[in-house]
Amino acid sequence: MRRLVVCILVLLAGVCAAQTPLDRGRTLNEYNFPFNGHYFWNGVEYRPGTVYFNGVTYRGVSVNINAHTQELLVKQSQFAPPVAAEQSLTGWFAIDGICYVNLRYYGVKEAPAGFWISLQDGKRTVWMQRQKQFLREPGDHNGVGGIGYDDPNYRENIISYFRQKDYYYTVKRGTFKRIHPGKARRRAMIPSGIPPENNPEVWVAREIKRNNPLKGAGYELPPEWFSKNETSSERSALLAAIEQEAMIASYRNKTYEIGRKGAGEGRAKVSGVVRDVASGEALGAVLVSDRSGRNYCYTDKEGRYSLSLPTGENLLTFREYSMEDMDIHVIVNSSGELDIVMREKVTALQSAYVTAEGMADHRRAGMGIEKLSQSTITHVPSAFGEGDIIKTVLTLPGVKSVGEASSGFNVRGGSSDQNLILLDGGTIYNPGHLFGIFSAFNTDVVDDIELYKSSIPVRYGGRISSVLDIGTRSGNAERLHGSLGLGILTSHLSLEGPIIKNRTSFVLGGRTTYSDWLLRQIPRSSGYAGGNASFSDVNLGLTHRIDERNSLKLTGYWSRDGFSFRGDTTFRYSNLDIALKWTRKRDEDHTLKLTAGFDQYSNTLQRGLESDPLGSYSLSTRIREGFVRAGVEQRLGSHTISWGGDGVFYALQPGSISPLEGSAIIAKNLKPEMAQETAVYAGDLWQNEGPFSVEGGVRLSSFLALDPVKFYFTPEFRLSGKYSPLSNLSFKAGVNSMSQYIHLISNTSAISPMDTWRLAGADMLPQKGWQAAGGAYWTVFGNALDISLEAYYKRMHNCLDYKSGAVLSMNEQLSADLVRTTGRAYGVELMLRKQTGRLTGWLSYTWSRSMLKEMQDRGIETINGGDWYNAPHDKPHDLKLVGNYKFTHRYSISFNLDYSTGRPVTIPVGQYYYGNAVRLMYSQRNAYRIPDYFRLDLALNIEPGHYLKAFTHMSATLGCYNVTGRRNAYSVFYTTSGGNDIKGYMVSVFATQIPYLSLNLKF
Amino acid sequence: MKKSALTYLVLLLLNSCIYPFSVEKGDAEFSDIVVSGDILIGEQSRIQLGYVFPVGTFPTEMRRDFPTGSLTIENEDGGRWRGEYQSRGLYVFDTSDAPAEGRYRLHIIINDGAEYVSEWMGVHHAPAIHNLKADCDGEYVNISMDLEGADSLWNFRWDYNQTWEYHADYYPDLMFIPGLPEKDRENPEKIYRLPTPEEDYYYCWTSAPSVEPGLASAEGQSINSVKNARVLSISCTDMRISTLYCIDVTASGISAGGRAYLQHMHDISNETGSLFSPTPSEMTGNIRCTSDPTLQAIGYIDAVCRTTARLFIGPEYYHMAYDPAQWLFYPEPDEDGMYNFDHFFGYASPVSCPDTPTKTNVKWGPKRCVDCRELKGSKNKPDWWPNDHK
Repeated sequence: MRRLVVCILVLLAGVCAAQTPLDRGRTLNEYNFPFNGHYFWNGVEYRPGTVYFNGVTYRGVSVNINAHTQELLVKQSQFAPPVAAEQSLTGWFAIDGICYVNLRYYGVKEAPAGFWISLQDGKRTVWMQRQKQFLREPGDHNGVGGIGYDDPNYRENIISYFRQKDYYYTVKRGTFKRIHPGKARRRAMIPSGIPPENNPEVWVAREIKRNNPLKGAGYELPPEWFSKNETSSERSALLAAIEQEAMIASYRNKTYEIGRKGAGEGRAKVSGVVRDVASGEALGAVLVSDRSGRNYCYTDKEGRYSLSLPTGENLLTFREYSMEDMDIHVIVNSSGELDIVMREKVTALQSAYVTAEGMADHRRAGMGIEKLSQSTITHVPSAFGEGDIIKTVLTLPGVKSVGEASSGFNVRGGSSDQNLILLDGGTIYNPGHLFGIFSAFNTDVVDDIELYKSSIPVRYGGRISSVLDIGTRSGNAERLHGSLGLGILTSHLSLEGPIIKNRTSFVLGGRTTYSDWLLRQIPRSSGYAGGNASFSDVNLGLTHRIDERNSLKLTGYWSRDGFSFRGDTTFRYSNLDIALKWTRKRDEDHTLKLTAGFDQYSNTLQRGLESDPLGSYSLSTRIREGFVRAGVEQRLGSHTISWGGDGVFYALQPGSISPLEGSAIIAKNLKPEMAQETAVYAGDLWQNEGPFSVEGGVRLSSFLALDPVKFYFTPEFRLSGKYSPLSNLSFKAGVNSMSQYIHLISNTSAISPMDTWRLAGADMLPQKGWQAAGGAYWTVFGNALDISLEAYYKRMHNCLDYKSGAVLSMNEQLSADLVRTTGRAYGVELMLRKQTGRLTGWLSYTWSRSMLKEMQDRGIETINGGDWYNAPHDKPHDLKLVGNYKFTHRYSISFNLDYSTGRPVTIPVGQYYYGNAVRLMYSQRNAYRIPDYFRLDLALNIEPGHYLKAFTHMSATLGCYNVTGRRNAYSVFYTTSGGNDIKGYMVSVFATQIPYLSLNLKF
Repeated sequence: MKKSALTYLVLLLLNSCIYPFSVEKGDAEFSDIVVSGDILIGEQSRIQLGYVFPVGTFPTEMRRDFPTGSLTIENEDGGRWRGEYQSRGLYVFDTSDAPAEGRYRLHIIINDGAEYVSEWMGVHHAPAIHNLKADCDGEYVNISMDLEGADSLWNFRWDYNQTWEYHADYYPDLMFIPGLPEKDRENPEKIYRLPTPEEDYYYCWTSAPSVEPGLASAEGQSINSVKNARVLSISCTDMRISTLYCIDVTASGISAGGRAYLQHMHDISNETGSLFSPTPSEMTGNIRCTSDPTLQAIGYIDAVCRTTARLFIGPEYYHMAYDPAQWLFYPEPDEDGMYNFDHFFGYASPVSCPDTPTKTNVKWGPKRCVDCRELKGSKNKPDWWPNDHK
């Protein structure tokens, strides 16, 4: 009997438990709450909602949620006390269409207790919970920059924020929106002074690492649950923001254990990938170092890093100037991986220009290496406001040009054809648009730019002066973005986004000019009518991540230029580059890169002489090259070994002339040139935590010219070393030798549209050169100021110059019109670079000389009698000052000051009568100089505001090129005008102030 | 408005300007000599020697000093033609009987002992000039021609000499000569009636040679002809075509080296300074110093035959919007009651001339309106001129 009673009671208890009503729970007393005056999730009002409780769905229940205790509060009537529903029985409830889910109820045991709302981006789900903290001393946290929750004005407004790149998101009443915080609000919102544990309110986000946890749970969920939660763009933006914030916060606040415990003491390798948290793009050139700063490495273009650390506790620092600093506490047990995300600095006004590597010069063994970023380029004032890579490169020490409108540049005394300009591995033969006023590269799609002036890595070859390696971006793998830029002369548009999210992305950019249209508008009386000048270019990049270790990148670049200022002559030239790159990271110590591609450069001159129709013709030249480059980088302890090989096949058409309609010109093609350039190389970088590091290598290059067959073989050597007695002081020295099997045939100072290239062969020897350099690098004022001093001496052989009256086009005996010269260049480069604070920038001064001497004795015709003469780009004094002063996050001014000695010119020194007119007799080659060059540019930069609801974001640059209006001479010339008077003239490309306005729209 | 704004914008963008740059007189010393001219087969050859002067030297200084010596034209067959010194370094050779075959060279021995010789040059036969014509495009009268080379002739050179007739704006009736009639008691006003044959200054003639040789090449073409070779362009407001204009074009064939040399000389004297202009340099000609290899001679000697063509252009293309009547006026005395006729002593009488002309009862005009000589012409009418103007 007793057993029966017990059984009945137990049964009844079970039935009672199964039928526990919703409003019979723990009664909760109301209490004061310092923040916002209440502890509710949204507001104090109870609103009708739907509750799934104990297997029963209750509708029209008056509910609210306590964000402090994470409990569902239910009221039976308006005046009844709230009851906290039993959490273990509550599956979900919905208020105002927002569903709050108890994840633990659905089996997600790792989820903190309480209710969560979900956000989805169609692929992943992130769960959010609002948590209010009870702070007994709120006033303590109301400091500068803190949330002013003692201020009644903020009580209802400031809740919390998320930040994604330049945008702020607030979460309010279950929704979120993008806002533009004013200065005061922004200051209030950014809790820089508040430790996370004291923040009175936080949003907690969790990504559940499994498929939808609710699926298959066997419990009822609200109808349209998933459809309701399909993401909107705003929700996905918030989702991303939450994720980023959570990820960033997670990285910062956690201590990561790497590797398996008990692996013993010693050193272990930590490797991983660094990505942009917003776009997912890999971040290259990020400095990764340990606490001491002596042990460091840089991420490669795929964002990969690998660093050897002692086992135990360590601090890993990640530095890139446009990204927020990231310091990660790690406990290294054994080798392992740690992927990191970094977030772009909220301040869109990037304040540093050259490189984020504040201490970079101390860490590299190599020297004479400059790195530029896209933002650097866009903030250096330039003519017409178009960000320009070449013009920015020209602000660096040791880099010069012969004038404002010149396409090429000269590095440490080398000629413009001695620079290898690579765009995603493809060679760009003419890097200028519109006579050199603009460079050929679209800064919208450019990612990183590296200029090697001295310690040229062994993987590069083919030019004897420098390498300018330009990489394009992979494109945002997360979402579609774009930008549109409007300038006075040009416009540019770019789009990027995922094709397969987080796997395949694209970037597409294009530029064009309306100078053609403008020229057509002007009247004939102006003297400029009848001409045309235009250009356009397109970049396309496709990046596909095959898996974690393999990726493919396909890039293409096409450009065309055309201009004519005399109606009968038209110039056109075009670049085409296609490259496919496969990167395979077998493990963190072993990376293989394989690139194959095709380049083409062609130019055409069309001369339709009205005065001589029989002599009308079209003259063109073309160079094509197919290339394969393979390189392996392998780390072995303190050594980083790189080895690989290149193969380039050249097919060059040095000249082709064809008649135009009605012309008597005989079509003719010069004999095509074909050759194979092959190189294998191996190098080693040795560095440890000591003060010394050494990098060296050998490159064996060979060149086989076909028809007639001629073979050249040249071993090239690279060696550089570093000694760092202090962490902020280092000394370096290096020497390298290079060879070059291709020549630019030109007798103009600047790269001309009709310049042709010729390959080395039986009658044209390859150029060879070597350079020795040394330098000291010192960082002072807490890494705020970098000081570097470099000196170099360089020799070049078999450089080409031309005989007087040389005919360079359609010349079957071209070598007979050319002369071989030897060159010497030497100089000292001083650079002061400030990268922090409101005022950033650099000051560089270069003293250098560059001279040439003819190698043959041709008697009276020998150039300068066989003595040394100035190279066309020899400008001994060169001073550059580039800076940016930031007033606020949105407003800044940029300035660029440029002074240099005038370049050498050949001018008349004598005159005589010949026939009926006075003629001029010229000096020895380049014996005189044009007046010194001076220019000051100013620009006001206005960056986008943080309007949360704005779909587009506009930035503007208002500037003035050549503020002082100085008439800088591009050249001076004399003319007799067919008479007896000799008149001197000076050509000035930009002879007055050039104001400009550039608008950029991002979306 | 839109157009002008655009124009301003474009001009601002195209503000690649050319500014005067001072030419300072150099102090370099030169030992080079200049030899200009060609060996002309079938006519007199004229070869001129000169020196090189520092840049900035006044032309008058340059014309004071010339090298002198012995100049001989030689041919491979032993023929010798010695030059006769004329003036200002000019030597004339009577090569009218020189055969148009074989090779020629110039041999120079300067009085200081330096000896120069040119390369042996074959004779280039004269091209045919066809279709010498003038076309007007509204702004310019363009004179052009076709050249047709002989068998092996692919490079051409031409020069021209232009002669034109023009007239003063008004035919004067009276002349005021303030100086001469001082003693003329019978004519105290110093006003004389015109014309007399000696004082008819209405029509004048003048001429000018070409300064630059014209150059063209048919190399690379299937035929050795040049079409529409531009000889000269004259503005439609140029006085040269106001009455009667004549151009005599003389064309010759030259060597490829000679054309390249002259083209280079032209380019470095007139075509430098643009963005893509070649760096100027001195080109060596075909004359070398045999006595001192370090000395050089500037110039290129070719042996050529020449041909000539003539073209007259009437006033049909001339349209000068100029009203000389605005310069005629009744003189007024100055503050001192004096008449300043220093620059105005021509007179035009469109209707009638008073019996007793005075300074104030007739209209007077500036001399350049009534005296054609004021415009650098002369009354020396060529004997072959086809009209009867005096």
